[in-house]
Amino acid sequence: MQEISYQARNNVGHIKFPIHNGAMDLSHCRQLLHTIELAKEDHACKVIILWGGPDFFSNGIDLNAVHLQYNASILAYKNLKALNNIVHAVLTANTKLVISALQGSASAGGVMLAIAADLRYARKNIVLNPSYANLGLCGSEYWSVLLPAIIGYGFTQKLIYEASPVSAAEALRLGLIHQIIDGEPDTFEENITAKAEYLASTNINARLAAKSVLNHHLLAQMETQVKLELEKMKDCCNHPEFESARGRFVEKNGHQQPLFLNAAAGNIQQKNKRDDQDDNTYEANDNT
Amino acid sequence: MKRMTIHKKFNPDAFKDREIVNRLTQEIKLLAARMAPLKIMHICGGHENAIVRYAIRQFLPAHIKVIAGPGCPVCVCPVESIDEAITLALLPGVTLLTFGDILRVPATNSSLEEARVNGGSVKVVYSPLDAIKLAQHSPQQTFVFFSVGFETTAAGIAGLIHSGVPENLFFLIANRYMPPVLKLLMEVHDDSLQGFLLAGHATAITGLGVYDFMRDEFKLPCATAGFEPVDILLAIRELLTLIKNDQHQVINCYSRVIKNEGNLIAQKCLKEVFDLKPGVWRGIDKVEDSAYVLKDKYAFLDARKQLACKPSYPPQAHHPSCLCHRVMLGEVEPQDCKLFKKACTPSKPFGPCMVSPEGTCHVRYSYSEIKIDSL
Repeated sequence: MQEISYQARNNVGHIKFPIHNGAMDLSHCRQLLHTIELAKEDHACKVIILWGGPDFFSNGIDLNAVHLQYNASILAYKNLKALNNIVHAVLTANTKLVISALQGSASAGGVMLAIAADLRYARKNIVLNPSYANLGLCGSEYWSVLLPAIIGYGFTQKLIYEASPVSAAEALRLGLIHQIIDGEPDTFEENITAKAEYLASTNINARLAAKSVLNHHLLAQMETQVKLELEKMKDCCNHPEFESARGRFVEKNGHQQPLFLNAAAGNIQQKNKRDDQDDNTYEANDNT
Repeated sequence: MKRMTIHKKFNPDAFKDREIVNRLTQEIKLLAARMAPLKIMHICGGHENAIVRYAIRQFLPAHIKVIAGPGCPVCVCPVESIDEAITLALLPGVTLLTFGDILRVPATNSSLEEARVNGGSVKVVYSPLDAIKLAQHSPQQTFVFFSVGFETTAAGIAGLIHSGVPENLFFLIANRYMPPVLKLLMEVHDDSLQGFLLAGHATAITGLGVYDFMRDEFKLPCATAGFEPVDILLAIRELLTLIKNDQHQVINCYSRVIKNEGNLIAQKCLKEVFDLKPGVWRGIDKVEDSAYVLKDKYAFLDARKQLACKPSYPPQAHHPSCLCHRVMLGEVEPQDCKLFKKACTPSKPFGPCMVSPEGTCHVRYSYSEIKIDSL
């Protein structure tokens, strides 16, 4: 298993989870939860950075492992709950500011893990893919609390029902991420570490007090919503749609890069092309 | 109201007595009056049979649900094992011996009954002792006892093996150990279960201590129960009392049969003969430490090791539309399955739960029309 690590420096706790393909099985989830709890209890740590891995931040549950299980529905459900626990641990980190640093893309539960953080920074080429519906699932990991609170009810509808990928630029516009940090991976890491160290050392109490006020309403809804999510997810996990979607995902992709990321990359390229064309047209009009 | 107590001395009629049933029902209603809706799960096919046959659910307040778990031994028997049994039955010179209720359980391509029609040698026995007699009677023939069941059956087999069996008798073991599956049930049901009714016969072997993890880890009360209406209502009343008082003990409400420590001789035999390994519960999951497997020193009796029992085809646990596995997990009711009572009936079962008299679908099919007023 890839190492999930925790290091604290200058009041900042760095949690790295470079999991293969970003697919988190039960043991990854348990280990990451344990690491987050460790960071939450570390008095020297004021700000936690969730780094994910260099290729993927997180792609949610490990569908390959689920597919191989005798009863895939049960493992999927267990896996979902284990990921829920991680998101819950992040959302209830009341005495820390949590930053997610997306060096790579995220999908499904990985998106929710990313947006559960208080501040979210990403590299330019990442993609966020709330792909639950494409996998025959309605979604969990507190999406029904997080997404409406962050991007509003309308955009949540679009994101969840269409389940289409969102580029970093679009995610920034929606508020899913707060800043795109361009440059090489090292620069990204240095930049975010510097930000986190500044936040941890300057008026952190005020920031945490603001967090508790801001999150009050959100935390109050969590229990009811997660029950609803899990109830529906259990039905989805037992529905033939999940089985066939999972089969397609596993058989076509094996352990390769998930297909939706290819689709996402294609969509984004097309969009960039259109944007470039629009810009050229605009410039042409300007010139005239 | 003075609290009912039941005299320990066995008087079969007392455990069906209508007056006692009515008093217990009243006590349950009083207890439940100020309780939130709750779910209790039983994990015994015998309980489901008794609960439906005596219409016990109709005696309970609407907000107290008693749901059926994976308590039917035939239903949880993995399809892989039945496929192996069929393969053995079709081997020349081999006779498969087993209990009657597994015969019609559908496996991947057929059932044991169909294998018998197709020339397989399958005989029904009423006790593993019959297997010994048959093997002694025909020493030139190879016999395989296909053992299906929980702790109670496993203990009988262990005793038999421990005391020695004829050379021409082998065992195909598909016995399952119940306690670990409760952890799986807790995972599947989250916090929606408030207590368990434990199987009377299985607990008579293991004793209560093997369920202590329910108290320690899950903070959930459990009660053993017998199989008469009064037994079951009594256990429900005791469980409700524990739930109401936020207590999490494992209690014995079937003390005329179960000793708290269980049957120590049977436990010793089981330990001597079997290891517990991960095992598949049909359609449900592979559950850690839940399958009885013959110890290495008894490998010479193990049909899997001594005979060619591996089928030439991969297993197929259930028909795509069959919900038996979810019925056994207590996630859905038989009537939620679109095959129930339509395509799937006891005479033409699609899944194992419609076969055995302890299977939830079979029981509901057979007794669902009984109303309290008719009793």
